[in-house]
Amino acid sequence: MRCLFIARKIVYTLAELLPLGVSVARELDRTSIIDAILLHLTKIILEATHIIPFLYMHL
Amino acid sequence: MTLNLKSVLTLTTLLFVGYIVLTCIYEIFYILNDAVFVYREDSPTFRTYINNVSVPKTIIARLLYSMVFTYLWCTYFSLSLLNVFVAVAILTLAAMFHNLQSIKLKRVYTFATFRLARWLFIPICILGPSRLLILLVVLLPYFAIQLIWIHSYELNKYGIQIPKVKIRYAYVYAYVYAVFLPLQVVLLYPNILPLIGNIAIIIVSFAKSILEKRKRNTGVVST
Repeated sequence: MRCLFIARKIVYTLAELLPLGVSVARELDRTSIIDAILLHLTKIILEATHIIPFLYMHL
Repeated sequence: MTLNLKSVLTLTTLLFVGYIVLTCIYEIFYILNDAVFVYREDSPTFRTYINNVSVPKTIIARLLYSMVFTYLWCTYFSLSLLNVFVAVAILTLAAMFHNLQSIKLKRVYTFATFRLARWLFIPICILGPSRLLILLVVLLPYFAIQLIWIHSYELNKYGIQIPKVKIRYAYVYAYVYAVFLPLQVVLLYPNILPLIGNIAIIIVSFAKSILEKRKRNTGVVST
């Protein structure tokens, strides 16, 4: 429990400083830290899946 | 662009820096929503992280990051600063429409537009706004899924669940992307390369949907 508390404190500190930190921190009410990170990485991969072929065709 | 190691590295760096810029700007709207605009909503979702971070410090950090990385992006890849301004303006407009909408159910439409503006951000910065018609066709199923997802999500907040089923998103992704595919092929033919991502999503979602179906609890009715 204490580890979880410390981990969340670290995430909140990092959220202030690093990009993607807020996106992860705002999911912590309903999911775990790992799941929140995975969720956002999945979103980015999904976006890149659409964007990469399009950019490749035009660059 | 020919496919070699240099072009792959260039594209990866271009996207990576683009995502840093996009994420920083996008998160400013998240913070504004969670710290300010949430109090105007009829069915608000208060998030605890906002009480544990310094709002001004977080916004200033993101403004600094976005300015520095935009400068690097434009300088290193010779991108037009005007295109970046256009992309930021479109994203800001979509975000403000979303944040200022106080009625939850009306946020269904503003959220889908906000997500679409997010997806168009990097292509607009790199290519300009005039070459995006193809990408809009490619994104049609994603736009439809966002409407389905956020509609269900917002209704749940009111305690309403219509239809009374547990939505299996792997199935929804596979189905919606497959439904749109013939139309997209006709519209884009012969330039169907941008649909590779959509086809990959159909295959992955279909496989995931079959795996989920095997694990499914027989007591829950699903679509």
